Amino acid sequence: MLEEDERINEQSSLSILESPTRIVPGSDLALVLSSPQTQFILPDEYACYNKKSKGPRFIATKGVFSCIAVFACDSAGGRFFAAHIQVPRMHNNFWKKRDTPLLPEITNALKWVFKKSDPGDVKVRLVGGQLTQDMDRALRSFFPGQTEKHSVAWHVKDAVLSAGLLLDSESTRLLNVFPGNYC
Amino acid sequence: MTGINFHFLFEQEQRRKQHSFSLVAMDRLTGALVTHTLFESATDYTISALGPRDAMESQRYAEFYRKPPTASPYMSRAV
Repeated sequence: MLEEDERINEQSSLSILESPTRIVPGSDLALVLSSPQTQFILPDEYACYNKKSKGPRFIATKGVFSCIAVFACDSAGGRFFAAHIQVPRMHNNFWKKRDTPLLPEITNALKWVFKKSDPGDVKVRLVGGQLTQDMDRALRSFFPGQTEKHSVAWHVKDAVLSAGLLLDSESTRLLNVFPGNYC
Repeated sequence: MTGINFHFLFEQEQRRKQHSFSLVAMDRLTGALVTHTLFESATDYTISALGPRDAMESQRYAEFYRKPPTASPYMSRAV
């Protein structure tokens, strides 16, 4: 039932309805927004929990336009990770070390949180990104001739995979689903 | 009439392009993902959060903006 609810929510998010999108009272979204157990993370922040008994129930982030949100959850073990990754963060990290990986802090945090989890038990979801801005101009100049590294999504996936976690088709189903506009 | 149709199609195309995730949340207990999308660009989104576009929506956003940033001890910031 839960998976069905999640799928219905996804489908309604992806379909073009009348503008503006409204928050329906009683919906999952209204529950998340109004719950005192909701913790919001800001862009360029991440949050980790490795104990079921501690921390808020919902972890949320707003304004995931061309950014990418990473959620990883081991429900049985109570371990959880959420991040809101902005592209300028990758640029900053490149100028510090001038090499990949561009998101070492994300990889390290994921390793720390899920060190006692079986990778098969960790559900990873990457949400956001826009197709037109995925092939980043700055990344092209940083990595000439390495086409795969021009993609913002590639670096996020690389950070997750480097932490020993697994990505499947469900993990990336909501990644770069909207065209977006050039800035 | 053609102009109106063209304008309508242009609007639809812009909306399609600007469709993006405005809020994403996950339930720690179940791993269920909740997503919410908007058509507007980032600027319009900010305006809609502040303006009386919809009473329910504005109230929720206003509540959110009044909340102090919730930082975890593991938070990382760009230098």
